Amino acid sequence: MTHQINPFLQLRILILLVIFSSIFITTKSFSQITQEDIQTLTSGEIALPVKKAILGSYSFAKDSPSDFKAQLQLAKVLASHDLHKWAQLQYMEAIKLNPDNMEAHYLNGISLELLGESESSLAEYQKCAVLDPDYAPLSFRIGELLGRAGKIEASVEYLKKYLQRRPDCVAGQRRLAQSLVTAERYTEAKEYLSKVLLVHPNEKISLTSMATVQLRLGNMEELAEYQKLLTEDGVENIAFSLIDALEFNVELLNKSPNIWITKSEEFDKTKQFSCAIVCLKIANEGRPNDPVVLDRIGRNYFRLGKYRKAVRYFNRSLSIDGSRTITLHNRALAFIEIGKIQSAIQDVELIFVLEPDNNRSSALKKQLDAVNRDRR
Amino acid sequence: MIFSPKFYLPIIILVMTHLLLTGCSPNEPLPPVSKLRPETSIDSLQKEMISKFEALALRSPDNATSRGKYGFALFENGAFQESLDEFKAAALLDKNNPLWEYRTARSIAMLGNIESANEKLVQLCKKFPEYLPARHYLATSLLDSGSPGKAREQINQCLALSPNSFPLKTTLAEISLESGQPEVALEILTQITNSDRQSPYPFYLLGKTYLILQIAATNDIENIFRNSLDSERVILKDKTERSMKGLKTGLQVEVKNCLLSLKRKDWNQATVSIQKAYKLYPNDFQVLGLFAQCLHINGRTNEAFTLIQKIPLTFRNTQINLLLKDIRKKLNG
Repeated sequence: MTHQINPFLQLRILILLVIFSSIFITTKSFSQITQEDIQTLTSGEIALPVKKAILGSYSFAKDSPSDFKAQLQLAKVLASHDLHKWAQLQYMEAIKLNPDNMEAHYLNGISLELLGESESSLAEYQKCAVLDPDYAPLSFRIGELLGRAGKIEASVEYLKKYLQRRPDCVAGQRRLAQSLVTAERYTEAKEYLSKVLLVHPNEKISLTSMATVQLRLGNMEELAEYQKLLTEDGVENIAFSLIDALEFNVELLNKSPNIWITKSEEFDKTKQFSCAIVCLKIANEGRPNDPVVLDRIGRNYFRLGKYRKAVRYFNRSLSIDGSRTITLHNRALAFIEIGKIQSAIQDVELIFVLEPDNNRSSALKKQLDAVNRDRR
Repeated sequence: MIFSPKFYLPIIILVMTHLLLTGCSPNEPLPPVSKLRPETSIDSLQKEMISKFEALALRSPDNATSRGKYGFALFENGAFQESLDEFKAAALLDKNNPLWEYRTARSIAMLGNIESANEKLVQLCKKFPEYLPARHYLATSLLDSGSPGKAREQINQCLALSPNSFPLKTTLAEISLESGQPEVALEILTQITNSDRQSPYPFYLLGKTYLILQIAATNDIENIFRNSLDSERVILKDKTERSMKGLKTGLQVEVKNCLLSLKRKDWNQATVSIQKAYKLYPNDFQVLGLFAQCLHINGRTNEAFTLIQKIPLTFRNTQINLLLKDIRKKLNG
């Protein structure tokens, strides 16, 4: 007796095979960034908040492989920490789930650009131009890449389009002027360079371009003037930034201690001490053994009138570097506020042992000596 | 005969009964009631509080609750090594209560051995899967030690058991925030802070989320932090833990309580807190200033004036000078 295979059974097996293989493909596609990749990225001397952001966003993405938002967010977190090689792979995963999402294509374009893959990057930006032609920074980026590729007229066209939307953007004006110089359209270039120099009269690149323009136009007097300006003090290179909401949203995710220290300094200036403390605490999590960060947290608590908390942070700072006379000085001030005069005196004495010529603490020493005399 | 099951059966039953009665572990000797170690640095207020509970433990050293309560008093006042010994003793006396093992793990964590504490908590959560305080704490500890994925697993298990708990949702928001998902955190925290305006920690996290996303004016964020900067995580508590209130003391705690009460215009409570501190620290300038402020508010302006005189002129800050001005105004009619 021979066994005949039922054709319906065959069909069922085929369907099952298709289902299994599609599941396999889905799983496989996510493994573009593997657990090992993530482990490699988060091992070694990586700041704890950065590690948590990467591992955490990876776990969100892994748990929801078909969730576009979760996939995109992992890519953004990686990009925010300049891990563009992996970010780019992850953007591709997100794009697979939502091929018409402009944000994913655009950010992928930025990562590719930063990886030096200008052609692929330009291709991504051009896709974006179809998906959302109104997004202004896109025209700038396309213009920039076309300019780099030597397609000057096209570059000028895109950069002009950008400036139609953002006429006051100095980054756009300068970039357009450069393309116009390359295209030998000096009169137009002069117009845009003048706009830049009106706002930033000491900007080196624009001054140099302007000198070139004047030379080409045969304006020798103006050329001499710009050449003179270039030799003056205060001429500087300025990195003009582009207002780019999509890129900005990625930068926000950066948890590197340096970024948060810089942010805290801004809050210090505006006397927003609580905000400064929170920024410094994020930095401290990433750099637990940095006595400067701990000292600065203490100082901000002091400014808020939280003297005991300030002392606690000064103690931690000094336990890492006991020779920091600035921290000893700050702690002495905090000790005074909580009535621990003897401890303050000890700190000030130690300052003068470490730095006999210390000027900062001399007035404080005089005050404490006087109190000490009165007490005796 | 010696190989017959009839011979072994009674022995097996005896061993099994013994193991069941002793919690399946060999008998460990009960440690004596802990004494404060000389190297433990605490202030007189804390010492006073700890002594009360030490006496209770000494009166009934075989009672898990009195040993555990002493453990709490030690823990809350920073004597973590001693609290560890007491929680261990309580756990030996009351093996079916997960609280003591859980608190043992927390003491271990406070002593710096986070990994060992986490391992202990994982075992405990396996044994008592529905005991939320341990699992909730484990989630936060995993987050702090750099495992946000595992932390989220734990908190999701907690939320499956108690889906409406605000402290659990707050931790989920915190995990999301640390995991590079500020938008997820924002959604949870907005919901929590709209419903519960009393708990400061969700506001602290909300401020941090605003700061990261830069979606609010920095003045508004500063205001949120001004009221929540010193807040701490709230871990779910079981019944016994909830009954252990007011154990945390010390100069710093009383000053903080006084300041909080002054903010709430609860003058009586502010006076009670600062009086406690003043009794033990009569030369602390901050205590003197706050006590004088309380006395002045309560109409005892003359006493307030005398107190302020104790602060040397050089060390009178703006706040003290303002108070002194007001006192003088009142005294001079």
